[in-house]
Amino acid sequence: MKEGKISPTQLVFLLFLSRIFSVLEQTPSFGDSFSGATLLLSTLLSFVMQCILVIPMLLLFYRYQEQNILGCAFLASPILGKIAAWFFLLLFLLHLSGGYAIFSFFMTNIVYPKSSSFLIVLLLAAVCTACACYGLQGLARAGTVIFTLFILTTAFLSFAAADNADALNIHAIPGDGFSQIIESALNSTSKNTEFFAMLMLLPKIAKPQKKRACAFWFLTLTFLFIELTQFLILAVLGDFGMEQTFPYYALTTVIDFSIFQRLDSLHVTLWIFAAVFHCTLYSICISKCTAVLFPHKISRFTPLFSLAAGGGLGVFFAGNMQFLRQIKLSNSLFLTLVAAVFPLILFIILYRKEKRHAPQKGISAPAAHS
Amino acid sequence: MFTSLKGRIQAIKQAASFKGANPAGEEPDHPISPQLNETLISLRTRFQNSSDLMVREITLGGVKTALILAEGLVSQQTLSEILLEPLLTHRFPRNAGVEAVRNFVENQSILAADMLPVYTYNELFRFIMSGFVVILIDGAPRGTACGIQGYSFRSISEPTAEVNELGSKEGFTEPIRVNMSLVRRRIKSPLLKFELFPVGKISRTDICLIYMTDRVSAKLLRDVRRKINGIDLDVVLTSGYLQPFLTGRPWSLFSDVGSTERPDVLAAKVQEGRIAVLIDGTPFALIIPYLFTENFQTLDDYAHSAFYASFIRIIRYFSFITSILLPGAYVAISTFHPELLPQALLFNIAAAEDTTPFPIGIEALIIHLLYEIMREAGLRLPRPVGHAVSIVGALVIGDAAVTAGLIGAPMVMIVATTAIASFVVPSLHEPVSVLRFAYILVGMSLGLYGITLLSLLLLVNICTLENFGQPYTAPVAPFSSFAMRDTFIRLSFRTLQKHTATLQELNGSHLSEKNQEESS
Repeated sequence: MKEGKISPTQLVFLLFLSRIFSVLEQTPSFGDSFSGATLLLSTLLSFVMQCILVIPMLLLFYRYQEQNILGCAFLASPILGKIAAWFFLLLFLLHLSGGYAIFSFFMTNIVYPKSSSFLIVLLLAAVCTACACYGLQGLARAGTVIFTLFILTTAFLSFAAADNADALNIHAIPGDGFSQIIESALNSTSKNTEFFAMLMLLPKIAKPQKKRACAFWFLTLTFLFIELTQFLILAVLGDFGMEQTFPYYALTTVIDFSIFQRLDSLHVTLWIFAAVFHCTLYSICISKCTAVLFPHKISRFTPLFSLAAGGGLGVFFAGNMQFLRQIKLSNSLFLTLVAAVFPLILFIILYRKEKRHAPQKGISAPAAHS
Repeated sequence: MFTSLKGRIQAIKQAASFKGANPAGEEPDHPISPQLNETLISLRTRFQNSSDLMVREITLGGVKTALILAEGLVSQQTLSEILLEPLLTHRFPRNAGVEAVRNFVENQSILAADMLPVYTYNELFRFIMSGFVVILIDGAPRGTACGIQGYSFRSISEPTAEVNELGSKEGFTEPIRVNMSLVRRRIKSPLLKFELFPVGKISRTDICLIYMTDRVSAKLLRDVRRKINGIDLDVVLTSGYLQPFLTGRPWSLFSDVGSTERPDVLAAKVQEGRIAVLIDGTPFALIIPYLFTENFQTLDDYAHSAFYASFIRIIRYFSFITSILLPGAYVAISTFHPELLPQALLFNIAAAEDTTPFPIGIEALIIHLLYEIMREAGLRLPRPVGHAVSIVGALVIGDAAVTAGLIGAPMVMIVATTAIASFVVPSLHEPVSVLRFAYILVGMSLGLYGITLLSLLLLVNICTLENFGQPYTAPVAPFSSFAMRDTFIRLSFRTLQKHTATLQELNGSHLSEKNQEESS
């Protein structure tokens, strides 16, 4: 697997495309039973929450420019490093297989009802493994192209949807109480599992001083896209959209433009793009975990491990979606603990450690670790 | 003239030192003997009395002298006029001695522009086989090589593979020195440098690196020299022999080493900081490194107005995508997603395909296979017969097969459109042909899902390609905004003249020292 730095813009696009996977598959039946107005407001609140959540991570990575979360954990204590590596390995594996399962669920229910989920997962896993083998740089460069396509397609879909929008749907948006807005915001925040990927990849950018901008633009782009899609769903489908399993897909099926009778194939194509980026990113993160846990002789087989373990679990989850829901991979408390509290604890531990050692050794911490 | 001579001497010295001073292959080099007979015996033994080795022994001022040359490589007229005549008509004093004869040959009679000393056997073989006449004087420790090459070669003509509407009609030809002169005529700058040396243990083919000393990246130059130095081939006959050694990923479908038949294109590329490689005996030069977007640029783009050039470039990108995707997408949509087609179109396709015995995917595969066979046949056969093949193919496939109900008319149209679209970007013909089949297979078995997955895999593969530290997909990914003025569109020369962008300036390039530091 090739190692190399990527530009901050490339990382923003990568994270955005990965995040889009969970945005496009948002299923209200999985718990989002809120009104349209609540969703729109809560997305804004969720954006603010995520901006706060990212602060400890940035603090840590600005001090230890070249280290990712595992590197920092190893600096704090080798045992903690190993535990963190195993924890993140399992976490990424679960998210990877969850991604495969949700993708397979959508494809076998909507696009190819006669296909087996095994075949769908196997193909996706094989492609993601191959892409992961090409390395982060190749994926990041491809992300630039796909992001451009994505923006163009979204603009086209929005333009086409505008024709089908009904003002009545917007006026009739009912409102919920503040507690529902908070609940919805927490729910929306918990779905941003790309925070975990950020913990591994943020130090990989070529310009370390751009980490803050990188995080900010990722969150802003995601926020804008979610707001836009939710607004379109509300404007075109109204309450009907809130009842759909895949509301964005439902939106594209009702849009017609010129000779195109339906635009769901565009949505499916975009979602496949997003799925590949999402799963490949997690495969790469798995590789980063195994690289610190095992010697190179073993860790070089990580892509195969990701293919077998991720694919296998993916097929299992695809057949047991209820089980996947019970695991609650997206949980706001868990996200806060892992993405914000853990980096904060590491920051405090390392800071205290430096304070203890600096007067004796006479060197500053960043110089020692970078 | 003298600059050229000096350059040549330098090049030959460089050549001698380039591969461990063993130009004749495996055998170690030895100095030539002052005894003429000994040298001639050794020479004949090494050449195994080959028919084309000519040795003319004469006596000058009582000293035995030999003229050695390879038949067919030397101009007979020049040999008589500027070499034999002065030597034979000069009045040497009786028993003039070795030094007097050598002094006359080397200093007093200007026999040829190219006159070089010969010290070793390997130099001797090399000069003879490069069309030099070597004069050996009995008792002298070195010989003299006179460059009076004169072999027949194809004259300069219009390139066949890169046809141009408004540009020059001159294309490269086979002899390397003629090609070097074609480039020199276009860039009359002392900063343009030619570096000549032999490659191939047996063939000793001359190859020439061409670059602008002020624009080329030192790292790139060093790496290219190192890679060429590592080539261990016995024979180098065409540019294709060297290409795999210069590419970043030999197993990729797309080549990151460019090829051109045009001196003007080569001059333009060299101006952007690239290195060109000319190979003796082939009219195709290699360009290193080569970017994906360059496949869509032609010299005509710079001869037409900016708006038209931009329009044509976009057409080329569209054609490339069409030539790869259209058949596969058609098969996938017709087989798995007919709901995507407008109703009227769907009914027409259904009516046409209703009478055919094969599924659409198989039909597409068969017709594309036939098309590739006909294309290859038309290419290999003599031109008049090639045209006949095309006519027969068009009649058989286009008319008879449809009339007989073997294939549907829409499929014929798809194949024809795809074929024509693939002609728009000839440099990508190889990957396009292979990918088209891959897309048909994926489309017929997995539908749009498979097509999307394959496209992504291909995209990531292309984006991963790097040659000598230059990303293949630059300036799109990594993105360089300033390079966009001459990528998908071309801006006016009023804008382009402000700065000629070099490779090192593109984002993501590891060729410049600055970027290397950044990435390390």
